[in-house]
Amino acid sequence: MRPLGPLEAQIMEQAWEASRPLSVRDMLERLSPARARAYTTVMTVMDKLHDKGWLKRERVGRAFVYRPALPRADYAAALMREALDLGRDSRATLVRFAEQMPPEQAAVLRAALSRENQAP
Amino acid sequence: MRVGVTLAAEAALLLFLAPFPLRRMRWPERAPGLGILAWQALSLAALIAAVLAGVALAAPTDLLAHGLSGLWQICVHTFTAGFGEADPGRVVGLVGLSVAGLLAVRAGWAVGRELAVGASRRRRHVAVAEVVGRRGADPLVITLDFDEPVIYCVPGRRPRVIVSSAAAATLPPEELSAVLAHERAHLRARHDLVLAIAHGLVRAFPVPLFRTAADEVVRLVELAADDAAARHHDRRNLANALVTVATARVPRDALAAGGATALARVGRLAQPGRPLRRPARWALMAALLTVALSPLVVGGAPLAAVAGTDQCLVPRGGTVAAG
Repeated sequence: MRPLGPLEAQIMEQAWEASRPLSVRDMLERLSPARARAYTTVMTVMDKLHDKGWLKRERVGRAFVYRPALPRADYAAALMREALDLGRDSRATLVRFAEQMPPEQAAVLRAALSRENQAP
Repeated sequence: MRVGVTLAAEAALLLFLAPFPLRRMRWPERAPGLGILAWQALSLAALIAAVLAGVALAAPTDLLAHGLSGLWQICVHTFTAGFGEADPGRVVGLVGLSVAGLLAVRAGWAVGRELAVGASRRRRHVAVAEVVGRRGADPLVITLDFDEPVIYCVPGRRPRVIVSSAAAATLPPEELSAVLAHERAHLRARHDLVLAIAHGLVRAFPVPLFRTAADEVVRLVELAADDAAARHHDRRNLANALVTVATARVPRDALAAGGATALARVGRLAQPGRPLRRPARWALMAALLTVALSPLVVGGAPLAAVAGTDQCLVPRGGTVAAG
């Protein structure tokens, strides 16, 4: 899956921040005014995002309005699940800085650390 | 034939017996990079010994003296000579070559799959993280909203370090830098490749050697990255961050049995052992090279005895016409 470019990321950002579905014109107004963008550019990108499944759309009058397919948190949670290797298929492709452990072991670890930190 | 048996014995020794005493070695903790190489050398030696054993079963010893071109001709002859002859030597040879081929293909395939699947998953992960996460000053780091401190790196052509929002909020800046240094060390040393090869071999052949090697390598890459980070950061910062992240509360399925590893790492960060000195390192590297090349020695030693004798390649039946 080719990574999305900065404009796609900005558009998704705005889509998540908004409390309602946005038309292309709405989106244009919200995008950083410093970067004047062509209507057609934004329209094309939103169309692509829809095709890729990031945005859902419906017709309102003559135009489309777009909203995110999933809340941002859902994506973040899914990414974290993958990183935490949930539903292990044992192809651990992401390596955590430290693997998390059950509470009993956690207590032992914290105790060990405070012992070390107290040592001269 | 004798060579084939010797090689097979070496392979069996390495694959099934060697890991048990070897995993009690303590020196890898003092030189984790070399430790990783050691397990790789053992795995390579075992694979080569197994494959060469199969090939050697097809080739009468003296014919190997002709080197690679001879080997090729032997292979071709074994498969193409008429099947009219029920020569037990040839049957053994056929079996040997087939097994050798299967072993090599299976190992290559499994490692290749591991690399490919890993790479494509990581690419997709980063692609989504770039949209969903937030970037700060450091282009390497993406912050994802998550209410427990979790940090991990995603190696690949566009490597990233993912830091959860809770980690960014909880860890003081000096601890966060230490962790980033640890993750950068993973990325620089291409530990993703090291792990893919180790995991691939276990998938292909879940034998004691590859299982132990994978477990050890998983552990040793963390120690290696800890050491790299400790060169420029206070070890205590790394240890504190380690505990903060390791004690994060995550879903039950995500809990690893890694308690022992984290404990060992904290102890090691607090009291680093004496690093291995130069002479010891060189000696170890020489030993590893010997181990890795040992199958060629075992397979080749009998050849030295007959190298240079003028022998024709076998026309049939394994007997050699001198000339």
